Amino acid sequence: MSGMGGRTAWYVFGVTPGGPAVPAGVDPTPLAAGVERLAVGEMQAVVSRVPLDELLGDGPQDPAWVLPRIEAHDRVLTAVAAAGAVVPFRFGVVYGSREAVAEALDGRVDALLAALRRVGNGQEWTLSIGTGTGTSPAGRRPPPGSGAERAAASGQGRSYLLARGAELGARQRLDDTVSALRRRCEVWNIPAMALPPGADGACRLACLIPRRAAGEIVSRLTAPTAIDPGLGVSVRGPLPPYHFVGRNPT
Amino acid sequence: MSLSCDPYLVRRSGGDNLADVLERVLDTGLVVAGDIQVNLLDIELLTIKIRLLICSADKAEGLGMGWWRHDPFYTGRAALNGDVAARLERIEARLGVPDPEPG
Repeated sequence: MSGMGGRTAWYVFGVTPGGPAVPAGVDPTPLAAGVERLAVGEMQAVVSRVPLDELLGDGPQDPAWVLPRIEAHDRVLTAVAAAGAVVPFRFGVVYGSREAVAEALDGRVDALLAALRRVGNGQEWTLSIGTGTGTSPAGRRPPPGSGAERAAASGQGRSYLLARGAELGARQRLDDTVSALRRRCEVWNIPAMALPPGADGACRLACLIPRRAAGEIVSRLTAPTAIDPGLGVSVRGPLPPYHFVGRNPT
Repeated sequence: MSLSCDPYLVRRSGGDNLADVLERVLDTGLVVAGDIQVNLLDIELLTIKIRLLICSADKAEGLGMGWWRHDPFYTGRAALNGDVAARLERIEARLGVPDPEPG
């Protein structure tokens, strides 16, 4: 972040139900120099002072300027979420003064409290389940470089069909596993939603898991008995409950 | 934070790739309008611009985001189908099979 000698604005990361101070070691740079809490009724907003002139310049139109700030936004919210409940805001909420932050959020207090209730004390965890072979999300055509693709390229029809059958079988196991995980979440009353496929074609599932039992629940969700042995699972979390706060509070 | 790591299961909260972070921060989270009409307010345009950046030819492979280029769901008819159609045309031409009548 450049110097704060000019005009200052207030960047809002999200709101929490109150509680402890901002966790130590939260690093908002280059978006801001430090993170503070601002009381808004029963809640607290997680805010930073940011240089207004920098925001009003050409920076926000330059991805090279924006990308590290987006990462800082995520980093701050991830640290806050690890310490307690939080409703994460989307990137780019800026007000001209502390009073403007308080006034704006106070006007949305019912919606914000509803969002806080929705996420409760849950943490978002993302499960990515894949075959490890670059499974195509649509499952209709073998990905380049796969056995089926090579067989098809060489014109070996039987080899192609065998390889393609194996890949479709893997895809079916993947779909079955994800369906079973969703059923398990439903039984355990854990909100879950499917996300768009990952870059590698893996199926992804976002789950809102109670903080106090997160370790145990994640372990049970990803236990070898729950996942087809031919599949790989990666778990990402705890994250701010980005996917579970709803949309626009106004 | 790395919780555990074995060949079967990997858990992590750090080290996200940029695409994951962008999806979370720009596509999800509560939408609240600030009172400063900075360029950031034009977030949709900015999002598109950033997406174009990371999806550009020289960036996509590095980010592991090129899968849609090869997926028929996103690219229309598969190249394989095109190859098959071309081969079929050649075979039919050799056999002297007439073109199907319109309609």
